[in-house]
Amino acid sequence: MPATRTHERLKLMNSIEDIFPAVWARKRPIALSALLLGFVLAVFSITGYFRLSSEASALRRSVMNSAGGEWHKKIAVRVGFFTTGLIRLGSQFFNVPPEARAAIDSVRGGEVGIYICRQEPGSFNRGAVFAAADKSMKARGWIRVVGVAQGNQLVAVYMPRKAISTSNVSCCVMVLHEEKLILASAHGNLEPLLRIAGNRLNLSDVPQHLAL
Amino acid sequence: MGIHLERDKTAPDQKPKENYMKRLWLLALGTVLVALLAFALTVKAPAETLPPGQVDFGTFSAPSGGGEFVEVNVTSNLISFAARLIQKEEPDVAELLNGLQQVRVTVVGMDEQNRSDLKERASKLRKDLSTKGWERIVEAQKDEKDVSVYLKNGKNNAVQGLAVVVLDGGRQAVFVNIVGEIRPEQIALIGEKLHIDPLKKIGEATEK
Repeated sequence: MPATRTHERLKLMNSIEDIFPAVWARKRPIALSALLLGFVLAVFSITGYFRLSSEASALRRSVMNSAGGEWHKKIAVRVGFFTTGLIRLGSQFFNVPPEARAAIDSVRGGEVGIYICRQEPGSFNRGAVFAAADKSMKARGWIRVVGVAQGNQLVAVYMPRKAISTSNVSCCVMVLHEEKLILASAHGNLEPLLRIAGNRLNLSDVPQHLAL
Repeated sequence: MGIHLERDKTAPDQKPKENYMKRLWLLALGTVLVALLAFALTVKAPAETLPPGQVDFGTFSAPSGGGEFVEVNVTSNLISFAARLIQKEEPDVAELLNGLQQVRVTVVGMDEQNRSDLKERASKLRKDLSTKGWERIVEAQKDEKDVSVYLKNGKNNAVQGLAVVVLDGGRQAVFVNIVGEIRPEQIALIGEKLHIDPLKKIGEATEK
């Protein structure tokens, strides 16, 4: 009886050995393609942390081209929904103050880019910078809601033209300060923040800062 | 019979010619109609897209001398968003904001290069508003300050928009357009709620 069992086991192992190489040979191209795709996606995702979104990139290009000069990147960092989602998930396991939790829950993505110009400050045409930035953002469905220029400082705030809601708010800010260009954009869900603002703060003060 | 025969012979040749000419005329007429329609649409388009209370100030450039330049353009999306946020706390203000479609404020600092151009634009704008049915409700000139407030009334005296032109001596020019149901005494409130300081100041000045 034990001899029969051993024989059966050996037979089964042989059949597995026979089957698996055949399956592997057949599926190898698919498996390799999947691995390669995974690798490319991983590289793309990791480098994505250091690349600005298409809107911010377009804004950066238009500002740099219109301001002229030679620019170099100091830093560019971006976090998207995946990273913010992981942070939200991870924060569940820690005892976080409600205000901080509301802030974490609100952010759905954000990016910051800082660039330095080697040109002498003050030589850019402020009107041309605004015009180029407006044109570029308008083509992407964004409009300038605020534009301020004073001396060698320029600030522009852009928001999507389409309808916005408290659960989906996006904005993009450009600051050109002498030889420094700062681009920042964020999108998120304001509802957790508004809830906590309603509980803790005087809600009537909130819209002033949200509107502009 | 001979005549009949002759007619029968010529008819097949003339008919296609007549048809061809008819088609040619129709084609020409159609082309002219399409061209006229396209022209009418392009001419009418800008006027149709602008709501009755909206003023086309044109584009302003930041002073080349490095002077002050502030432009705020709050569209209906953003206004209704702000209104939704304060709906529970301040329903009256939310209602006021819901009646607005756009708030645009432009402050341009004056320097030697743009002073005459801005003054000219302000005076042209005032003339245009007067000719386009805007009613001047405030006109004040004091200490080189020149303030004009215009109101656009629609049917049943419903306010469709408000425009303010300010020349603050030789320092700055301010152009304001609020599209929607707005009364001059509410300017300061809107400036306060939307956090637009120039609007707040103008509102306070007009109230005085």
